Amino acid sequence: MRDHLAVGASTGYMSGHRGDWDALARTAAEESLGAVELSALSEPELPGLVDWLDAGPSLPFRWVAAHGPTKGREMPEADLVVVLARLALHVEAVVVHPDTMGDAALYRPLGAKLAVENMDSRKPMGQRAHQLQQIFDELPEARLCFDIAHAGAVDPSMAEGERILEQFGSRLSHVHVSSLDESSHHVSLTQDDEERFGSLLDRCRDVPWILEAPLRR
Amino acid sequence: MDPGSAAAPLSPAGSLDDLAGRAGVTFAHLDEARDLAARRIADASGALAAATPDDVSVVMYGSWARGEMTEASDNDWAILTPDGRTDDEDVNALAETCQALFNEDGKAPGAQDIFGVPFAWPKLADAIGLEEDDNANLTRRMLTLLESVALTGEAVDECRGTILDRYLRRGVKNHRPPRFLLNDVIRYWRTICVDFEGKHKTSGGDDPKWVMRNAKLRTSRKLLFAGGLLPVLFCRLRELDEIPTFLSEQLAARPVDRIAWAFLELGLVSEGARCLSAYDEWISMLQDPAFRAAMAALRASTRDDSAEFARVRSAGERLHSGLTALLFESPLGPESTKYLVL
Repeated sequence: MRDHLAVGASTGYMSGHRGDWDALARTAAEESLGAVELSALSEPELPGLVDWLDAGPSLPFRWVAAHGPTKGREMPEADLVVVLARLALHVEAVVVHPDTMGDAALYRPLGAKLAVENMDSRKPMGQRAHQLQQIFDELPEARLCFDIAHAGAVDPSMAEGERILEQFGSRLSHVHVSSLDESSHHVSLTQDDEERFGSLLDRCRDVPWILEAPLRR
Repeated sequence: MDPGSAAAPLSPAGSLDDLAGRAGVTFAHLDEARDLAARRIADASGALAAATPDDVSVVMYGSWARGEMTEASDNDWAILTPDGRTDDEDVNALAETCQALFNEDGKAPGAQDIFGVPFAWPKLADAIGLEEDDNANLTRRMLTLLESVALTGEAVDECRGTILDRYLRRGVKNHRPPRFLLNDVIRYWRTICVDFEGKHKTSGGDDPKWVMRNAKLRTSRKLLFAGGLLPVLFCRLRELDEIPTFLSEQLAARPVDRIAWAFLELGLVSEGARCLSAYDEWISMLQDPAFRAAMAALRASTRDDSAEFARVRSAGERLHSGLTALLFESPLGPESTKYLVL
């Protein structure tokens, strides 16, 4: 895990600085200068993130992604896509959850900047390869954000994760890395999961690995 | 078979197709560019065969040789002669034929006279390093070795063999990358990068070619560098007496095939597919006249607000990440760290 050259942090777990993008970037940079995912998980956080990126902050990262909102959604979907497209001007990938997409075709303007994330077992869709296929049929340019903990929760044998990478590996944008607790919340990667996920992670060495919880110290 | 084992085939020819098949992807734009290059090479070879004396070769460099030709590709040609023949009548006549064939529509080689002229090839091998090895000699030598294709004659084969022999004559050991060659490949790449900045300074910061030059550094030039490094690093798996044949076979293939071969050898199929898909995307940009026109209109001051350059940057980053994984996060990692960093 620690020998991968492009490991970065998601700001999603840095709840103490929520909304303070300068502080979030500084904190993320303490984890890695290679990559970062700026998370606006709640819709009210999104305009602040876009304004902050529009202002052109100098960031120490080689690769920057953003995570679109998964909760607090009020904006009409078409308007949300317009905001996400503005966000996409500043980042390599904009992560969206399939279960938050009403009409997937609306997201086509994001092109290859859109990264669709595979879902955990609580979500009604986007968990398995055949479900993701339906989304990618609508969004032929979209890429995959592979959440390895979600794949492990859907199928602890990791066979589904294997299928997802087999089918959509050529679309891979980056990987979300963590373990999940009993409530499916992201927690630090456990030793057991590090071993369980190892062979799949080994096939993703050319893309950033984004930590959704701090590494074990 | 262990990744990178010595029993692997020497020649990487066709490896891009193998990688595509193994990964279930296509490299449609690279295929189109390869086919166009093959047609143009066949046409030009036919046109020049009768006019070429036995002891010289007409050689193409750049996208012709990489198999990455588009309708806008430059025609970087040269005539390789033995010593003392560059001003002879038959060579001059051949040069006039080449000028008529290749120098139309603004596709002539650059104004520095590195290409687009006859030159005596023995100096490429005789003058490596020190004063005599000027920019023209270094460029001609490295590109003859890394990306050249003969339209006519066999002089270029003798030239490549002599250059390789010069690099491998002394100090080469079993299972070690030949350092003389390795250092010159690295030196050439660094020279391109340094000269890029030098050209920017002399153009007063508003050079119309600066943005495209920068785009090529991130893509085509970087791929060429990696395509030169990898065969040298893979010498770690070869006995001393195998190294000349191994390098000859490797360097005879397209750079993109050498890189695909390395990904396959190391078992990095998915990574290889993503890396070379990014390169395929770059080739698709070059094939698009609207993209080329937009890039030509960009300057250093407008580059960063351009959607076209953002696409180049993104493809370049993915190419870079794939090559970095290949060099540093694979079984080549210890070799790369030992030989490429210090």
